[in-house]
Amino acid sequence: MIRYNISFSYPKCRLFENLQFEYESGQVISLCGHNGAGKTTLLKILAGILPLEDGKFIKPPAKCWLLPSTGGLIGGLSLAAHLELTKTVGGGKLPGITEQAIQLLETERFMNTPVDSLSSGQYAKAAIIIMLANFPQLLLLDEPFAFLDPKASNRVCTLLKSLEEVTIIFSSHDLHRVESFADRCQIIKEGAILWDSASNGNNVDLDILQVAYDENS
Amino acid sequence: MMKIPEGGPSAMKTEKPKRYWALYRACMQKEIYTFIHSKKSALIVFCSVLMPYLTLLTDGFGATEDMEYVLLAFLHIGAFAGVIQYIGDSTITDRVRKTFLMFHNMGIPFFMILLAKLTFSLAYLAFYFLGSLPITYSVLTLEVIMMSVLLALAFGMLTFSIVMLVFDPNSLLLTMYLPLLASFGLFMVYFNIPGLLGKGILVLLITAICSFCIHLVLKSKRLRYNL
Repeated sequence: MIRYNISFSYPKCRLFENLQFEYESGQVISLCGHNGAGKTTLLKILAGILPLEDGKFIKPPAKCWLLPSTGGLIGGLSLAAHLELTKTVGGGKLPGITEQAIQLLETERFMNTPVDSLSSGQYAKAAIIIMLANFPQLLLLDEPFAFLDPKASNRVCTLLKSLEEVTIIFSSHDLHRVESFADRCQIIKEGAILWDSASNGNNVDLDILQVAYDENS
Repeated sequence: MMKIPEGGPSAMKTEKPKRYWALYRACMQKEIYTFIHSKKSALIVFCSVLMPYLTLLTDGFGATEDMEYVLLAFLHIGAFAGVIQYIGDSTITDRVRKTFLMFHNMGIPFFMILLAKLTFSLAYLAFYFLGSLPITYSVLTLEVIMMSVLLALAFGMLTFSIVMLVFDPNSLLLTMYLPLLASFGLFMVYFNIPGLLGKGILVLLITAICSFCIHLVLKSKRLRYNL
């Protein structure tokens, strides 16, 4: 079990005050909540990008990858070029899941198209493939399904679920997706976790989620 | 279930030189790719090469000695304006497009990105000196080249640091102001103060120290805020 006590403020706004956040390695955790609740900020803190109030950064326990909701790839470069870069960094090899992801997400036809010329959905697929090609063991995903069609979303879930010993923390507004994908759900409001499925036997049934979401966000 | 395979970046941690070399090559690859795809950068490089030829439009202050000063001034300005513009432009683009987040995810340190940009700048400078040779051959000595290269790289480092730490990356005007301001400043230094070498070293030292100080701060919170 990994535990953090998180306090964080933006220059003119206090967001988290002694927020107790914990997760088990290998879990799929969903962060829900209304816009501005602090989901993205929490992901950035967990990735070690934003400092805690005492100035220290969280050091992720494993190789971590923060997937932003938009952007994050190198403009002008294609998916193939990104994978070439990854190969260089990784010592010349890409994991088998890369090829599997390319086929499953049907990205062959735009492998050589610059990423800035792709649609939002295609861009999101490319970003996910590049993430998987980098061997991360802690995935922090900010709205990963926002631009994907249902078929692609399902396939991304299948891919991510096939990873062993990988912890996934993702933010989402789609409760159906949370129900089908997450092992655990937490609802955040104004910097506090108001509801945690762990205190409910980790039941992420849609009806329960819906009630909890309506009551707590 | 698919297990994360052995190897990759984590396995390379123990072989630091090999890993750094791989990261450096990846950064260089990225710089080359983006330069090829950015028509603006290519145009700027081309325009900078023309800088020493502006001497043809002036007669200096009358004397041959002054003419040499004018030529030297244009030569230095072209060199560092090109480097400042290139590094400023590419760093701003990297920030706007969140490229640095990807580098952070990949475990590529910031100094490696800067190193790649400086290497690319050296290639630009080689091209620049060759391109200006038809007009600058009379004043081009090893000392002048070294001075120009060192100044340009020091200012390039400073530009990288400033863009990473301070400027709003969405403000494209800054990509114009920064090189113009710096160019003008050094232009004045070279024109008005005799003893080119001594003063040049002074400027270089101040620039390098400022740049180094800012780089120390680069490890602070603010840099990551900007990711």
